[in-house]
Amino acid sequence: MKKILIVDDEEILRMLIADTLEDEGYDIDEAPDGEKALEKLKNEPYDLMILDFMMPCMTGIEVLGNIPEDIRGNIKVLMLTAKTQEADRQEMMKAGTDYMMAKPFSPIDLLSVVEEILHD
Amino acid sequence: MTDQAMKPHNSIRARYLRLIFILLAALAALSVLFFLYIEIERENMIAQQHNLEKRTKIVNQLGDTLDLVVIRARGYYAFKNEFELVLLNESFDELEEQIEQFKALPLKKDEQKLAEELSSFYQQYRYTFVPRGIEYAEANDYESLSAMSLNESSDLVNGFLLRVNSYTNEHIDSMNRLHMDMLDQSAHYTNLAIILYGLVLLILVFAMWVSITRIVRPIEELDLATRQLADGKPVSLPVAQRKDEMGKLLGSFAKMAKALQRKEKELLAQNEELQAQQDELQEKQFMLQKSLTRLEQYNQLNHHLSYTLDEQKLVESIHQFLRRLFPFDKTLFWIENNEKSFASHGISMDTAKRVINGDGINLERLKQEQTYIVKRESNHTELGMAEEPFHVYDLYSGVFGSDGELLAVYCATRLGIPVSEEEREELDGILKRISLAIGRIDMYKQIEHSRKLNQNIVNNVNEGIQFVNPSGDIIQYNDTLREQLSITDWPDHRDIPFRNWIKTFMAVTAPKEELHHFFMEALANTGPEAMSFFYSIAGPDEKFMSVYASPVYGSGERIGTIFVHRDVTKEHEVDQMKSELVSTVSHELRTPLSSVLGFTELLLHKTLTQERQRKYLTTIHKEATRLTNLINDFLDIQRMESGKQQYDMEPCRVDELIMGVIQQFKHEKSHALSLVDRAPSVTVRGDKDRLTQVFMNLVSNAVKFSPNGGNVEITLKNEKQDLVISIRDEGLGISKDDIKNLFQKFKRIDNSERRKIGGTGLGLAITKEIVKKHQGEIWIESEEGKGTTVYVKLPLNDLRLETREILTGGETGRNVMIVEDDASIALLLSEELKGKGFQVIHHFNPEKAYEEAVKLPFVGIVVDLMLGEDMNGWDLIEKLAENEKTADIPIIISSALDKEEERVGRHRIAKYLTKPYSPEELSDFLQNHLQHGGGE
Repeated sequence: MKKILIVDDEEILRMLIADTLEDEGYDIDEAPDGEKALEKLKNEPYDLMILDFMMPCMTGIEVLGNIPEDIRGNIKVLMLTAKTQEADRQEMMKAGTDYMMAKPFSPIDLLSVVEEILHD
Repeated sequence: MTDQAMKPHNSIRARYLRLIFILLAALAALSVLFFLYIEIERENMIAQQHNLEKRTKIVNQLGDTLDLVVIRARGYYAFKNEFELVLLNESFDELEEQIEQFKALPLKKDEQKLAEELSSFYQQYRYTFVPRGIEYAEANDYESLSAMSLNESSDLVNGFLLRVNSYTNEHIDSMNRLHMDMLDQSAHYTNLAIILYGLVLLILVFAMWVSITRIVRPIEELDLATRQLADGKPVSLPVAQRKDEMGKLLGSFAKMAKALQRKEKELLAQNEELQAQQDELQEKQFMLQKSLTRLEQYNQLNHHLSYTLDEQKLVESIHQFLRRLFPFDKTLFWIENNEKSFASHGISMDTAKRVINGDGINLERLKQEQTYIVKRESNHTELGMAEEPFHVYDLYSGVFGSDGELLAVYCATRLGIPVSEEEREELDGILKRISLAIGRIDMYKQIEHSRKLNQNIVNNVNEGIQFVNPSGDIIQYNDTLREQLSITDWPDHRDIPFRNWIKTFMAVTAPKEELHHFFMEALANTGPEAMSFFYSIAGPDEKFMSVYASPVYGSGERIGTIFVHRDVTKEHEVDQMKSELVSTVSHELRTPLSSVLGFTELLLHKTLTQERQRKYLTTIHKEATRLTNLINDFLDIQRMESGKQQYDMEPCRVDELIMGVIQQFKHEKSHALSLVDRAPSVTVRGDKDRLTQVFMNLVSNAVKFSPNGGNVEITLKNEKQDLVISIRDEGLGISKDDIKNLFQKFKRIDNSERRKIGGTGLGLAITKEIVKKHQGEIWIESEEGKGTTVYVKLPLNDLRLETREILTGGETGRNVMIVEDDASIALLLSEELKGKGFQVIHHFNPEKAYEEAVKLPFVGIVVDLMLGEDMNGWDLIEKLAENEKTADIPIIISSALDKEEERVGRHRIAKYLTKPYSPEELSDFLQNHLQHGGGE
């Protein structure tokens, strides 16, 4: 069973994603901010991290920058962001984001993207 | 005079040599003679001495031999030893030999006699006495022998010995004498030598004296002559007859003296001539000096005329120059324009002003004649000490411009002496030149005026302006540019070389390379189009600048480039804020939208349990509400910031508003809201809806940010002429750094704990806007983990009311608690009680009311029987009665229900008020109760 970590400061959004993916049989874990996400990453192996870009204290990009390299190699990152301008996209790609989805997103689309990512 | 010319034997040197030679020769001869004489004498003496010594020796030997003869004779007599006889004969031979020796010596008479006697004695003794004695001895006839000895031989022998001795003594004497003689002789020689040398010395001294006299006298004469020559007296030199060096010297000197005297005369003559020439030269020099001074004055004037741009200075220098050049007693010079700068001498200021204003001047005549002179009698003051009146000459001279307009006037007065034609001409000439200078200064003034005007305009432009010539140096710039760049070291009116100003720019701006490139491009730009660039200036406040460059052409030629620097910091900030806002708003909107869309999609596409469907729908509703609130808030703040918000200002009671807000939180279980009303005056002027929005925001924040529950205490109090409302919670608290940012839009505090709570991030920004519009203030005090207090200060509406109420509400410590569900009744009671000087604390939660009652002293507690679900009024009353601390507090029941006598009787109820009742009933009761000492 693939393990997915959802990092978002909005509890409702976490619930939305978690409900969508859990129904399809993914093992889901949640973190409300970057710091807690990094802690979880160190303790457990995840296949995918769904990361919100706009979070208090630590932005998605900062979280990416702080993942230890050995862990980063084994995990895919899907960034969720309301920022859809080209400059923001490039910034996120530069930081090492593997996939991106714009907010508001469709949970069905999200599911298919996740399936595609984890299928590879 | 040469050595060759001098005959050798006549020269002083030769003479000295001769003299020294003669003296040396004489001295040598004398010494030799003297030595020889001494030597001869000495030899004589030595010979004499030898002779004497020899004789003495022989005589002594004679004596000795004779003694020996006698001894041997007698020995033989005594012992008759033949050997003795032999020895006797030997001694006799010896004696004989010695006598012969003696005789051989050159003898004096007495010595010859002695020699004879010796010889006869020897004959007698040897051949007579001794043989006889031998006969006696051999016959042993000692008596005869002895008799012979005694009588004859002894006498003979003794006499002979005596003679020898005396002779010896005599010789010793003569030896001594001879020695004495020798000593005498030697002393004699010494004396002789001293005398001799003394003599030689005398001769030497004499010779020297003679020589010196011969040399010194002519030198003295020469000295005298020299002094005479030096003193210019006739030289008296004895005609030199001498042929030696002195003679020549004197001769030469005499010649020289004559030559000198002749030359001196010549010199004197020449000197006189020179003196005359020098006098002439000095006179010329003096003349030259005079003209030079005048030239210098001309030069100075010319200099002033050419370079002075200050009108007053020019006037003064012209006036001074004219005064130096032309001797006048009173002078006045002025420029005929608005300022009428002038300079004068010898007249009062008033007179000067009067003349300048045209009084006493015939301007028409001046224009026609340019210069005119008035001859008149001296007036009283001009007369002064003079006894008779004299003529006074007034000169009026105009300076005219090229168009014939009068530029300046020179007036001068001279007492007694008329103005000559030459003076007039010279003055006219000078004034013509002055006219040029005045024209020039006028022109300069105009140029300067327009330059200053331009500079002022340029300086007062809000943009920094920088004009650069084709080689890149700044020709002109304005103060604004200096302020923009905070430059202090640029000179005021000088060019600034390219590398200097570019360095200044590079030191404070960013991006450096690009800006440098822009400047270079702009300077090289040959086209007519302008270029622009954005950059920033570092500093305490970063400035954002926009610069545009535009080439400047003058008479068809590129004369430089103008750079205009505009401070666009404000625009930049607005832009920045706008884009930030857009980004934030889009994020804020997208998040709830994501939920709404997401859950809707799940509901549409998935088969879900009813429970989940409900959960999702609730969430969608909540998020949609949040979205609505957000949009409302956002619109509110937009409206407020753009000043479009309408405020319906009217007097309104804050306690009422707050009570209304508290009513909305009635169902809040974990938080206990209370209102402490310490303000006698609570009416402010404001918009009820907006103020309600403020308190709603603040109370909801207090509730939201104390997620673990706790008290929320709202306090009203009066401070001077303001009402201060504070809302205190026991929640999370805010760090000091965050407090600053709280009132900014979307500045929610960045931590997940708070983030969970949610909100639009606009509440406090809106609140602040509203408070500001009510001339109020809002501030926050907080401690992390302990809670937050928000203060709102609003000015009171009616100040008269406030003073009245303060008088009655001055007493403290009379707290009344009201636990009343009905806000309107609570407010009515509260107002009545405050009017009577009580302080009112409203509680809505019976449990919290009980806790408060334990803490604070109350003079009464008003309890409504129909309270919340958990606890009704009776529960509270029972709890209060059970606690010792609160058992004595009078309880007043305020109820819509009829009095249940049985239940009331069971509890100690001070008063039962059935709604509706007049609030006065309550206050009267409490006042009565207090006056009677609380005992019932």
